[in-house]
Amino acid sequence: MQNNLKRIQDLLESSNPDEIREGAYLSADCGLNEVVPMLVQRIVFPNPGVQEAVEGALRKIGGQAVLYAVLPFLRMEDSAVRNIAMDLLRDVGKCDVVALTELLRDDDPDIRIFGADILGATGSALAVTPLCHSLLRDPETNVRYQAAVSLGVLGFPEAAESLGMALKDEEWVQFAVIEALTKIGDESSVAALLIALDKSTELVASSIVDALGKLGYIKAVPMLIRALPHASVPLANKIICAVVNIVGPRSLSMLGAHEYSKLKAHLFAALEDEDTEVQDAAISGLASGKGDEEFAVVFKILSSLNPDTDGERMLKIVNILAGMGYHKKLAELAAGDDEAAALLAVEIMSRQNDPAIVPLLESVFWQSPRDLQRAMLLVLVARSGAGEEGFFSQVLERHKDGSVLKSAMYYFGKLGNSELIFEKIFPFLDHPYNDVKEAALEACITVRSPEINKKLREMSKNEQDIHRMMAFYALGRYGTAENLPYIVQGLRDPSAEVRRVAVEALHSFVNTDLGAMNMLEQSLSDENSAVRLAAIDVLGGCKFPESVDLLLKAMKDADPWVRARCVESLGKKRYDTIAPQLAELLQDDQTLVVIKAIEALANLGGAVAFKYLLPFVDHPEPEVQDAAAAALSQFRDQREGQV
Amino acid sequence: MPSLFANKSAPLLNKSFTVSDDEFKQLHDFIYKESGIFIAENRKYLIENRLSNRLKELNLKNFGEYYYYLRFDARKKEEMAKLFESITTNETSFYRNPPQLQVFQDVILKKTLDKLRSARTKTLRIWSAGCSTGEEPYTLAIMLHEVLRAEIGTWDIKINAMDLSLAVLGSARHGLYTEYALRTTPKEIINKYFVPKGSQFEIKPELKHLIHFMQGNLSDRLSLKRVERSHIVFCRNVIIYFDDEMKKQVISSFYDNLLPGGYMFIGHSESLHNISRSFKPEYHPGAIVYLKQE
Ligand SMILES: C[S@@+](CC[C@H](N)C(=O)[O-])C[C@H]1O[C@@H](n2cnc3c(N)ncnc32)[C@H](O)[C@@H]1O
Repeated sequence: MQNNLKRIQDLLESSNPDEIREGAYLSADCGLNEVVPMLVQRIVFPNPGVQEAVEGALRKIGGQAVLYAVLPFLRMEDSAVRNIAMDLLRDVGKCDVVALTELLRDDDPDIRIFGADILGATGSALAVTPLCHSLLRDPETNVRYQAAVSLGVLGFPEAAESLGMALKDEEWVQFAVIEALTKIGDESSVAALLIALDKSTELVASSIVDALGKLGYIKAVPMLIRALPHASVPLANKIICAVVNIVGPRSLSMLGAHEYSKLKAHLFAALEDEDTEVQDAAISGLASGKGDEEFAVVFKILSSLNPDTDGERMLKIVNILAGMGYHKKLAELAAGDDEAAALLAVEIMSRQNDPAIVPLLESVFWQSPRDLQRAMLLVLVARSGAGEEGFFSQVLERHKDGSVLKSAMYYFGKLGNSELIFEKIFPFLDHPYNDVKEAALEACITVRSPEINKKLREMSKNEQDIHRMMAFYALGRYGTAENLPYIVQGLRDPSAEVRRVAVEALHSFVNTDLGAMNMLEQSLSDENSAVRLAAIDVLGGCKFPESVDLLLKAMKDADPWVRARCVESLGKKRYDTIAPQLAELLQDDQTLVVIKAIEALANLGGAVAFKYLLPFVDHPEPEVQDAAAAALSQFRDQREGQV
Repeated sequence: MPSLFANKSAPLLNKSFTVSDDEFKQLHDFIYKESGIFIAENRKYLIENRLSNRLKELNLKNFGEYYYYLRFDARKKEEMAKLFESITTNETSFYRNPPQLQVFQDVILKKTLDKLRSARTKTLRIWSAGCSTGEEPYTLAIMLHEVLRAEIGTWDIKINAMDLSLAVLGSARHGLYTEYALRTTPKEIINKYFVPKGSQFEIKPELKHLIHFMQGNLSDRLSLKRVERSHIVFCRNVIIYFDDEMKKQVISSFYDNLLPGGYMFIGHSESLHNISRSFKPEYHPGAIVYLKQE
């Protein structure tokens, strides 16, 4: 240690900037208060690289020692040095707030400004009273200004009253006060802002309105509406924005027809404001009027936006329009030549629930371009029940687009008519696209019909791998007992992919049928490790105690991942008796397996497991050590839980 | 039950894995520790999108297992490389951001060479940190040839080109490029310094000689101390991956590495604001260059 200090001292006293920087790094690493006085001297070294390294080191060391050592540097002429001191004091100021409040009584107004600034960064309630005092009494505007800013940063409601009084100060201070009150944001802050609203200049009023909008205090609304008639256009727009933000778009309609009519003209005017935030507030305000005029204006704005840059905003407006209810204009738009507008109309309808929508979309479907069709179909599938088979059959017959086909198949799955499924959907199991195949299969599963199940059993003998795979997957999802012998065949399939799917399909059986579970034994010695892993996962989810015996055998697998998963599955089962077997894997040559074994033993709990784990807390590998330590503290928690 | 086609890679069937908060934190801390790359909370999707395929290929159940894989599997080194490739972009090109390079060639390089000449030494060291597939250091080598011409043989020049990823270094050493990498390179430069090879272009050996490619991790402060001290450091479009803390550390390593009077170039959209005040910014048309004052 002494050596270290000596070396740091030598480096810091050097005249070579590189060496001083090195000294600063070392100081930071050792973190001793003893080096602070030496370091601090170097803040004034005329080289920014040195200054920055010194600053970094002092910041890292921190604490009162740094605070007292740096304080005098606030008075330096050199502004770079002063800035460094400020930055550091903002960091360490909280160590002695009282010492800092002294600065507010300094003769030098600059020092008082710095003091107010630093106190704001302390986060301490002790700073509030002295700052309020400066805010109301300091002769220097800039000090009062900084005091307001700092009170806002601190955010204690105790400052609201003084801040309210300071709203009579110069405009320059007023802005800082408004911002501070907004940050504090409690009821008394809102009251202070409202009182000042009438008495302020236009500029200040406008920032008060902004603040009220942000604070969202409902009692402010009547006052704001009352201010509308005498407000200039820009201020009126801000008021509109604030009102909508406070009450929320839906509740605007609850203000009643009379209030709405008072606002309507202002709402239309606010659509012309440059600020999109104001526009959006006006849009949601207008939507609560629900009229055709309002719908048309808002839709026009929506279609003028660019999806690439205004995506989020468009989504918001779409939701607003959807909330206005089904307008006849939507039908015109969906059938019109303007594809972009039609897409937007469909987007809006997809969020509505009007009986007119299904017949409308079916009637214009075939005349529409592909992207529009895709969108329409999503809406149709979600809305259609029995009775639309004709339309959807046509879609399956006439269309080539994968995404359209998938939607139509989803409809048939939902409908649940097995004849239709066999006739219309089965052929798509041969479709060249995997996703279309999968959608067809999903429909076959969703209908849950014995006839389809039978077809799937036949398919499990198909000569193509992919078909057998689909068949086993679906048979598993059906889960009926007659499917089991077929799935078992799949465990010996020539393709490993197929075997894996067959193993996973047994998942539906292994909790009810011990025989099915025992079938997995052969898969545990499958040549393909993905198949073995799948078998272990299925066994892990099986509630028969016999599954443990199978898993124990797999613990000798050649692949460490298989062993690891196996241990994990065993750990979850919580059979105390297997602790010795799990413990064997603590000697595994793969760290992964050792760690999994430790975790599994920790899950088991109990004195035996504890005994096995104890020696591992000083294992040479840090990861193993960590895992063992975590396991043991888990034991402790369990014990304490029991007591 | 997992999806039937989970192991197939048709795009629409690419069911992706989701990363839980705990797993994200685990991976985030690990990646940060290993590379200094900082993945912000709101970029979780980056992990999900870019790594789901790895999980599928490795037959892993979730991101927790992936973390274990990265730490303990026998193939963890290879996986680490793949991980870095998928979370960083290696996007680069020859003559990337020409105005900035013009300032390098016409002002900074000339000034540096003159200074060295008057000090009667002919040793020049440049460090290209985060060099990706080599376009940046090769561009610098071309500019050195353009400025020094025949005189270059009398100089001792080395460009230390460093990257975290072994894969990009491999192709950098190879020096074979597509037309796309040369899209902002002047025609006459291509003719002079590249040999067409099929549809590609190979960089000439005299440029390769100037460059020393090496693997290195910018977040590892101590190992950066072993890099030779430089007259000029290029680190463009790399620190965007780091959080402020790491940016400070890396920039301070460059400062320490630079010889007094040396210059640093960072990406044109990057800034040292709130990162370092040690350098003196020099404003040139088209570029800000950072000077380590003597
Ligand atoms: C976008 S490329 C920039 C290439 C080149 N400098 C340019 O501007 O065209 C970023 C490179 O930084 C590398 N990188 C990211 N983190 C790194 C680290 N911690 N250490 C070293 N290189 C890193 C990446 O591997 C990648 O090749």
